Amino acid sequence: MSDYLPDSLLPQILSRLPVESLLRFRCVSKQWCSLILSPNFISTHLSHSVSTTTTTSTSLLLLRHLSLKPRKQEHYSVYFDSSKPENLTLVKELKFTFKTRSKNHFRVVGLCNGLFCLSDDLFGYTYTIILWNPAIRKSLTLPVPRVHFGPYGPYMFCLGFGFDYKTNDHKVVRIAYLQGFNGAYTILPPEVEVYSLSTGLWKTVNSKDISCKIVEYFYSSVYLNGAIHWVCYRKREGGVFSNSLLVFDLSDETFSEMGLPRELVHVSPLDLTVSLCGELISMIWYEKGRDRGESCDCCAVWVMNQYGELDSWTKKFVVVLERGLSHAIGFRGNGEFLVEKCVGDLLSYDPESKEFKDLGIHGGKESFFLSEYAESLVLLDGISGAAADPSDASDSEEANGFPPQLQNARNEMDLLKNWYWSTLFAKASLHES
Amino acid sequence: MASSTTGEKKILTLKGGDNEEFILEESLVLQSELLKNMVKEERVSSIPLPSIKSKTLVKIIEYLKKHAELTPSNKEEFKNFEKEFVNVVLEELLDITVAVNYLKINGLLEFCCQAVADRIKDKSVEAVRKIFRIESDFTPEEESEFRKETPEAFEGDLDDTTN
Repeated sequence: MSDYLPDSLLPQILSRLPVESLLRFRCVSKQWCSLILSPNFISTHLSHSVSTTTTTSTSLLLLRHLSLKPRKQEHYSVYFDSSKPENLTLVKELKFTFKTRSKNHFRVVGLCNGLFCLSDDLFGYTYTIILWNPAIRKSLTLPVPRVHFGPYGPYMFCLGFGFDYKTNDHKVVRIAYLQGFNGAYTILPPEVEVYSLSTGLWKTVNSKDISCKIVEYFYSSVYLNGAIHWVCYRKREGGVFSNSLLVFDLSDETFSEMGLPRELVHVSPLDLTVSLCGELISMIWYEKGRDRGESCDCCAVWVMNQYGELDSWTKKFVVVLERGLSHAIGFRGNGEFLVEKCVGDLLSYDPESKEFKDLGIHGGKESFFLSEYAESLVLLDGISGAAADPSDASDSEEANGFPPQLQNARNEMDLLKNWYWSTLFAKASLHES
Repeated sequence: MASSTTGEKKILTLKGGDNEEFILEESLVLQSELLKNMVKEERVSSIPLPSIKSKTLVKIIEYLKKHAELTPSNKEEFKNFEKEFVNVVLEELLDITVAVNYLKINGLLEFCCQAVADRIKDKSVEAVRKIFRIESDFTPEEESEFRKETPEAFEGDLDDTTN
């Protein structure tokens, strides 16, 4: 490196560059390369890219859907999220090369700092959890957690994904409820493990404070303010539900609960979804039950205007869609609300004019996922063994989402699969449990 | 030069690399953390800045004056001035950025760094090496590994100019 620039200045300039430029400029010299790959630089770059997306009007939106024709394929598309109520403008499609074993699609557990957390559990008993940064084409498959079928028998689990600001670390949380004598997954407290990207390991977390349950499979989770939020419930005597949000602080690694709007406390938790409206926690309630075909024609949307302040829950609007609303997908930056029609069409709803607009995107049932998006360099340092994306030409086990270290688990899973399918729908309904 | 005052305003002299002298109000240079410390601790009235070209110093003083006049009502005008301020050849912009970094004028530094980043983001690797006067220490094989890993970062219309 020339002595043209003082050492302290270079990171200040480079950390303001887009990801693609930095991938290219790794070639400039060994010094530039080692700077760009250093964990400190990656987190400085992250703080710049996050602050520019929130202050400029050029924020990006990520929409995932499963196309059905000509073949089943997951699409991860990046759009400009302009403030005007115009159609979404496609920026690019992210190259998605992972293969699901479920023949359905991956669950997007979360998207945070340009890093996706994907889980191949829709619907099957698998342990495959992937962290994926499409901007740098790197991914990482998590090791098998401690709680799995072998030693523990049947259980249900749910996941959350987010960022711990205090330690600059990305974390995956896994809450596993073991099966009780009655066949339901009722044993409290559940077993909780947290995976940290910086250590590359799962660790067990104290869960004695959890005295509530989470809906199996159709749970929803949201990351905000350094914490993950899930809809949780208790079933009181007489079959009355009592719902709230289970909150996991990613720094302290402790659990707490947050109250819901009064109207939502006693409804069926199967009809509730937690979501985000910009930087606010939002709740969606399918008043006539979720996913009941054409008879499900409305959902109500609440937002918590002051984080943690129960009194600040406000009912924003009710979306009424005749001929069936399959489910609500989430907010755009301009306040428009995206919903999925029963047949899989993506509609945009303007709460002001109460008008719908067909966005011309058709997807498999419940395959839509919506989030803000910003590119980052997370995983580029490879400290936790991140690998380049599996090539789509390869038909190896690895391309199926099963790295060699998981092969034993895979055999176990094949045995489990049939058993799991047979019990899934028997257990999914809370009303009968 | 002896310490002097006109009315109540303190005057300070900055000496550029080619010994050109710039006389200005002390309050202006307080925007620079470096000069502020020098003025406060050492009570100097003349500061030599041999590493900064006079041409660069002229630009920076121009900025300090504009910034001192900034009020909520001329915000738009100031934004336009900032835009014009960095609208110079890249070599000059880098000189300014290096000087601002040395003088520790924090707001301006962030602005200059962003301006440099905006100017180089679409440049080719070769152009960047020329701009920053860097000799490559990678072998062609090592370089092609990067290209293989993320080909899209090397595709498209890349800018080979150094301006």
